[in-house]
Formats: sequence, C-alpha cells, structure tokens
Amino acid sequence: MSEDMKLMTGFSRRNFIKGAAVLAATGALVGCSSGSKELEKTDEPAVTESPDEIYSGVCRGNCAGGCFLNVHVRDGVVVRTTARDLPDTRYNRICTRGLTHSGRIYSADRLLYPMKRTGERGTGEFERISWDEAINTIAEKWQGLVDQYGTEAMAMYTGSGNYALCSGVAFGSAVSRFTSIMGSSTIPLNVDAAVGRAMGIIAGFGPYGQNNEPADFANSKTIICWGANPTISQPQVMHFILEAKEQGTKYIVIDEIFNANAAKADVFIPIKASTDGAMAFSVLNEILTQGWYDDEFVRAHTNSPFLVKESDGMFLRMSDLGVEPTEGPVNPATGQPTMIDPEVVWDEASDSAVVLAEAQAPAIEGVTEVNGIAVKTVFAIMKEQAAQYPIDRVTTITGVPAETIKELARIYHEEGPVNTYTMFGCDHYLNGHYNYWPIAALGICTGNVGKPGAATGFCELMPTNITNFMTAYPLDSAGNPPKGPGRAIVVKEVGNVVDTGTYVGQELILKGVYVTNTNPLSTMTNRNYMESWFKKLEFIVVADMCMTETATYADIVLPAAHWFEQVDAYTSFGTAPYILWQDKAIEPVGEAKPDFEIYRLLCDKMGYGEYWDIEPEEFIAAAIDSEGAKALGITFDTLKEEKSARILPGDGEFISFEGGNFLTATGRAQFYQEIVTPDYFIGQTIDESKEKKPYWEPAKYADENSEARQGSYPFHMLSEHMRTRTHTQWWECRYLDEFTPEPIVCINPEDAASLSINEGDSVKLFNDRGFVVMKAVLNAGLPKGTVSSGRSFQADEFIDGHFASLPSIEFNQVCANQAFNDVAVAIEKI
Amino acid sequence: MTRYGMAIDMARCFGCQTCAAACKIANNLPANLAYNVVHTIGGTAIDTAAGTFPNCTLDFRPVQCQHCENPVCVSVCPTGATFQDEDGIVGVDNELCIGCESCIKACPYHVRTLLATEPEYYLDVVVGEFDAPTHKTGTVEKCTFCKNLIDRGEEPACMQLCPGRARYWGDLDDPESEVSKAIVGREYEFYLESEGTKPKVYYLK
Repeated sequence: MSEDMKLMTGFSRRNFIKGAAVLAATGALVGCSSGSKELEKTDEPAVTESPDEIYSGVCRGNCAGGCFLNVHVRDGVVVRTTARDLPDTRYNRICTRGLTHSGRIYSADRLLYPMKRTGERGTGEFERISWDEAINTIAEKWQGLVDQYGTEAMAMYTGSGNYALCSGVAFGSAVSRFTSIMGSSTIPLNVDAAVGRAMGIIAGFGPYGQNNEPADFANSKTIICWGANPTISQPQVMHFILEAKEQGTKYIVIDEIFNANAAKADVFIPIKASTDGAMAFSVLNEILTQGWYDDEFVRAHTNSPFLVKESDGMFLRMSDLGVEPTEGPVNPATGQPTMIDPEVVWDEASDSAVVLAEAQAPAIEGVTEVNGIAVKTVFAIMKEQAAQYPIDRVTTITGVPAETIKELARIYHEEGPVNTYTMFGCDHYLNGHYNYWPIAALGICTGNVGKPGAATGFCELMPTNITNFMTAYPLDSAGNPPKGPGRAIVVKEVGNVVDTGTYVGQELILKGVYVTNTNPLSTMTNRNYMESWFKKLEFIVVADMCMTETATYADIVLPAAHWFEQVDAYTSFGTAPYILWQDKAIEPVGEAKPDFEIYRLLCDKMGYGEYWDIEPEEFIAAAIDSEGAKALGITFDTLKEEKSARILPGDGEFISFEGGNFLTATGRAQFYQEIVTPDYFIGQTIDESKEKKPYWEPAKYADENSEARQGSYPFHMLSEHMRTRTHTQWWECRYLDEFTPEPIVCINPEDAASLSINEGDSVKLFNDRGFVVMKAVLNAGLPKGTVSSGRSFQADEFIDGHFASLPSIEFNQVCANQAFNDVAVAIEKI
Repeated sequence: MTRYGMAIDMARCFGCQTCAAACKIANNLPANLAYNVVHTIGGTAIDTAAGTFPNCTLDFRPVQCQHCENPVCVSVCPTGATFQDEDGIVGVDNELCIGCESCIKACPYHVRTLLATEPEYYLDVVVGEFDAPTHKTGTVEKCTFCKNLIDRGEEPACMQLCPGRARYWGDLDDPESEVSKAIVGREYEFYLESEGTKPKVYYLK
C-alpha cells in the first residue's frame, strides 16, 4: 500500500469529513480522489489518523533552548506541542516548558483584554477597558510627558522574554524600531555581563565569546564544565556531553554544589563560591612554571609579544621609537584619517624591535628595555599575575586540594583537546569578570581553542551578523529617519534618575516606563529598591501574556499575544545553530494582540504611522536582509518555506576561532588591554590595575571571608535555574506546578541540624536588604555554609517576603551586572 | 509476535521531567494524575542528593506502568477490567473498572491511580491527542503505552523526544527494534525484580 493509501485508509468516514475540512483549510489535502475509494473498504481494521493540524513553532524564551516545535492545533486550540525535526536531528529539542505551552496559552492567569489599574500599585486591582481606551490613554499620557519633559521621559524596559523579531527582543527586533521612533530612554538588562566583559576582551567576540557547536563535543578528550549546570540550564546540550562521555571523553565538573550535572561527572571538583578565577590562575601558574603552555599558539595567536611600557601601561609603538605615525583610511565616523602607529615587538631572530608583522620570532619573555624605555611583554605580565596564586595559597582560597590543581594543569597540558564549557555560574558575582579572564587565558595558553574538540567559553551560538540592524531606522515619506533611542540608564541608577531628574550630571527627567518581555520586579536584584522607583513613576504600561508581578504595578496592562498566535522568526539565542520560523497557529486568545500590532496602534495614534507602514512578514524579510544571511544562503522565502536555516557556516561541527583567529583588532587573543572601557560610566573611580590585565579578587558578599559572612549573615545564598520555568515564565502554567509546587530553600543537613531545621519547616532568610520565608529541604549536595533556591518565583508564591529582595544591585567598577549569587544571608526557623 | 517494551538508560537520564510533561499533555491528564513520574534516587526531596558533601550521589528513575509479563494487577482484578493485550500492553477498560483498588494494592510500582472524585483540569480547553484516554470518575488509570498513538504508527508521548536520548521503545521480539538494539550488550536491571512481575521496562546501567 502506498503512503497516500495508508493515509487515506486511516480515516474513518466521520473523521475523514472532519479531517478533510481541516486539511482543505490548510491546503494539504493530497490524493483525495484516489484515496476516497479506499474508504469503502471495510475489511481492514480502522486506524484513525489524527485530525490535528501541524504548524511550525519556536519556543524562545531566554533559556538557551531555541526549540523547534510542531504545534498541534485542533478546532483552533493548541492541544499539544512536540519536537519538530531540525535539519540536523541531533539538535532536535523540547523540554517540560516547550511541552506545556497549552498551559500558558489557556492559563487562568492569561490577560484577555486591556485593563487599567483601580487600586494601589502592586495590589492587582484592575478593571477591563477597551483597546481604544487603552491606546488613547497611553498615547495621551505618553505625548503629555514628551511635551513636558522630552522623549526620554518614557523609558522602554525590555528583557529577554522572547528572542523573536516581531514580538520579542532579538537583535534588530520590532521593539528596537519602536524605541527608535519614540526616542525613548532605555533601561538595559544589565545581566550576564561578566562573561561578556572577560571573553569579549580576550577573544574580541562580544557579547559572550563562543564555544564550538555542541556537535563537536565528541571530539574532545576532556570536557571541563566550569560553573555551569547543563542538566538544568542547557538540557538540550546534555546529550552531546553524555554521548562524548560514552565514547571516552572525560567529564570534569567544577561547581560549588553537587547537583545532577556533578552526578554525571567522572570527576567532581567542589570549589568555594566565586573563587574560580583564583583556581584558574593557579592552574595557569602551574602550566607556565612547568613550561606546559602551547608556545607556538601563544606566540602566533595572542598579544603576548606586545611590549607594555612601565611608564604608562600602554603598548610600545613605533612612535616611541621615533617613527611618525602614518595616515590610514578615513574613519567614516570622524571624517578624519586613521593614524597608523603599530605595536612593536622584540624579534629574537633579528635581535631588534620591529613591528609585529615583520618579526620572525617575536619574544614573549625576557624583554625589559627597548631604546631605553622600560617594558614588559604581555606574557610576562600575565605570568606575574598568575604567580600570585601559588598552589598552597589557592588551596586555602578555593578549598580545592593541591593535587587536584596539579592534576587539572596536567590535564590541560596532556589530555587535550580540552573543551572548557562555561555559562554564567561564575558570572553573577561582583567579582564575576575576574573569574573569566583567567579561565579563558588558561584555555588559550594551552592551545585549547579554535580546534576540533578544543574550545573555551560560552555555549550559546549567537551570530550577530544575520540581522540587519537598520530595521530600527525606517524612513518616513520625506526620507527622514526617526529620532533614535534616547539614553540608556543602567538599572541601578534608575531610582536616582527618578528622584533627581539627572543622569551622570545631565538632566534626564524620567516619568514612565513601557515594560515588555520582562518581569523585573521578580527577576532583578534588590526588589525593594526596584519597587521603590516603580512606585514613584507617574505612568507604567506593561504588555505581557499574563498578569505578572510587574504588571500589577502598571497603570495600563496590555494583553500580548502568545508566541504561537502570530507569524514571527527566531534568530537564535540558543544552543542550536538555527534561525526558525513561527507560523501563526491560532488566533490570539481573548482580545490579545501581537506586540507588533500594539506598536503599530501606538505609532498611528501618536502620529508616527509612516514609520510602521509594514507587515510582520515584510519586517522579517527586512531584518534578515543582511550580508551575513546572504553568505549563508538564508532568504526570507527559503526560511518561510523550509521553516529553519542553519546560521553557522558548514554542515556541522563549527569550530569557533578556528586556527586561532580571534575577532580583535589584531586578530589575536588578548591577555592585556591598553584602554579600559567600562560597561557604564556614572562618574565612578576606576582602579585600572584590576582591569588591564587578568586579575582576581574575592566576591564581596558570597566569599566565606567576606565581612557579611564573617558577621551577621553566615550563609552564601545561591540562586538556581529551574527545570520548569525560564526566569519567571511558566509561573502561570499549572501543569508544571506538579514538579515544583512551591519555592524551597535547600540546606546542608548538618547546617539544618545545627539550626534545628527539619525538612519542610518554614525558614526565614534575611540580610540588610530584605527577607523571604519558604520551606526548607535538606540536600546533601550543598556544602556547609551554602543554601540554594530556584530563582523563578513571584511575590505571591512565597510564604512571606521575596527572594529577589536579598541580592544587592551594586555593580562592579566596570561591569554592569546583576550579582544574583553574590549574596550572604542569615537563616532562622519560623 | 509483537511484545512492546521500553529501555531507559540510567546513565543518560538527568531528571529533566520532559517525559513526564509529555505524558501529561498528550493524555490530557487532569490535575494530580500522572502516568509517568521521575523518581529521585538521592535525598528525600526531588533533585536532592544523598551522601555527605562532596561524596554524594544523585540518580533518576522514570517510572510508569512496567507492562509486566506477569501482571499482578490483571490477576487480582475482580471484573476483568485490567487486561493484557496480545502485544503485551496492560490496559484498563474503564467501562468494567469498579474502582475497588485491588490492582493499586497489588501493583508494587505505585503507578496506578484511582480517580476517586470528578477529575479537575487546569484548563478550560481539552488538550492532548483527540483519542486520549477518557478520565472517568471511580475508575483506575495508568500508562497505556499511548496505545492510541502506537496503533497509528506513532511513538508513545514520552518517547517523542527525550533530551538525554535516554529512552528506547519498540518490539522486544524484533531484534531490529530500537529497544532491542539498545539492550544488546548492556547491563540492565528491572525495577523491583524480586516482586516476580517480570516487567518489560529495562533500566540500563
């Protein structure tokens, strides 16, 4: 029997009629006339085909998944979601969240129509209004604020809730265009910044540096998972690791706690909180001392030979040797010629100082003076930095035994190729980026980067070159671009801006925010601070699928369409190398509207309609009209037709920085930077000695010797991802409550005993900033002195208080980051 | 003869609950009814470790009806509601089930649930496969091996995509089936083998 025949006999008469209507509606009814005859046969057992229509879908929160889904629709209802085949089926993926979209779409907490606030902010008292009233109110209020205070009086506050072009926050997404049209100020996310800072500097590839694609993991002899938990945070990567392990790859896990990931490891190396940079330095020191570094790689692919002048910490350049800089091409930004003044190295072959390109054997050590100028090589400086971390000192700092540090050094030297897999485990501390530069240096010095099986860094695959950022700058009929976005206000300063009307010494009056794709009152640090400035704002609009904790503070709440209720494209922010197409699978539930259409309504009402004379598919086409996409053969038509396209060159096993080619100005990985550029500048004093070269210092609160932990707050409080939520998303999905019914704090059994805490007791965690009350669970996987909890709950889920009230919203001197895990607390039984 | 069975690789399972969630939706299960649960083998609470830090252990065991060769639930059922198909799948006919709980008491795996009261659903819409099991008050339910799906050539919901690639399913009598191939050359154990039920879910070590 042919496949067509099989299909047709699969229908019972009744279901065939129903199925035919559905299939005809989607234009998918093939072979109907020939198959109809088969229906008359009655001698075969009736096998009933599903009447469900299947659409292409993408699960696309900020979980590193980027899962390609089949959305099953019956009678206009999403009834099931399943994993859809990717071109390389090794990347097929789905999890608890992708499987339970029905629980979000039809949640009792779904916003079905616009609402306006009737009670105090945060109480959740609202009444239904029409879309007309909502848009009129927002436009009138927004315009009033703009007229009185300027366009920056309203800030766009977006998060990471959806990495799609039309509805979300992907690079070049519609919200960037809306922000640009409105000229709004912005409140950046200020998260996950330490990895980007360190890896970006060293590898020159922002925002986070990059590992090889997961299909390459099997080529590693050793995988060192350093401060990451792929069993929970990147579950779709885990099978690549486990398959590699089955083939003989050694899997080493470095973590503060023993979890499901550590349980899969060949070797588990427990380490004290955020002391990872110290350990990396110590391993590096051992490698440098033993001469185990990859000399050829270091000379050829790092800035180790550059000479740093002792006088000013700048590189020795030809102008220092009396050679005047020459004029290069005109810089389009300044209109002036660029000045070429190349770095000088010491060429051991000619025994002279020459520009790097002319050196046959650039020295990386032993150069102390050139033409009377005192210098050191970058390599020598790094070596000095590492030498501050001898094994005996680091054993005390990290709790890692001396023999383990020596063994790690041997492994990096002898058991390669080594993949050092990092995510954000060492990031969410005030010393976060000080952990990652030494880790990256360790991988690079041992040549464990840019080769099959060898990589050092972040596992998400985020090519930024397939999106055309000009989508944010449409032209009106006169050919004029919009205002462009206003100033970005780092989140820790928003309260000050609201209070003082100034930002970095200049006037910036902030009166309102438009919040979309984020739930900052649950997800940011120092909730009491966040709530204080939210309450002071005159006007808050929140667009969301459901009544989030943040939405309860809004003046107007707008019901945003679910991801499957609109056409869209996901441009990747995950661990599979694909751009993916989202079909419109169902009509929006209730009166929900796609964000794209909400922006259109606001633009029209506020007189900017010309800038939004575009349909979603046209926007997607414009957004992927880029040289990067062209080079990969990705076009709008092929994407819409095939629903997925690979975004990395080649057919598989893409190697980042292959051949040691880094994306820095010199093409070399950097162990020293001349110019320190902070993520933010609000007039703070910067100690550059910590930033120009690899450096480490302990975490401010989490370190066991911190003032906080030695004082009133002896426990390190760790926050973890959850298997059932992406940040707070899926809080409204009741199915997943069966797996994680309530917030819990995990505590070491001996610690619990000393505090007379039993499993299930309510306990209060508190510090100077706030408190939270939740149930205690005993977990031997936690070391003494550390407690942990899932980070994805909202206020009304806690017995009392709020987990997000505990971390500080301080920033490192150069790194604008959320130190979710740099937290010390005290615990008491309630 | 077809003899359906399953293999679950304990070295691959990392407790992500995906199989449990897939089952929940595909079968349109009401609140607090699960055919498929993932046990933590460690501490008492989900996802917690046993031992003394840092010498800890933590493993996972997904458990559903084991579709035993020697199903004790069938032999104790007073009405013939619980039966075993020719393909080895143990089923419950909810027209015959009287909710006496004999099978629940007899089954060592705790995978059967009595719907003692009117089932409550989380959603106002019906989800899952169009021919998902009906959930009838006063009857006992359990994993059907997604008989509705396999009868039309599809896989059981829990099999559709395991993130750890830990699950195998198919005809144990067919040496070319995925499940048969997965078992070859591997050490395995049966859950509560001493009960004498001869389960058909192989737990690969």
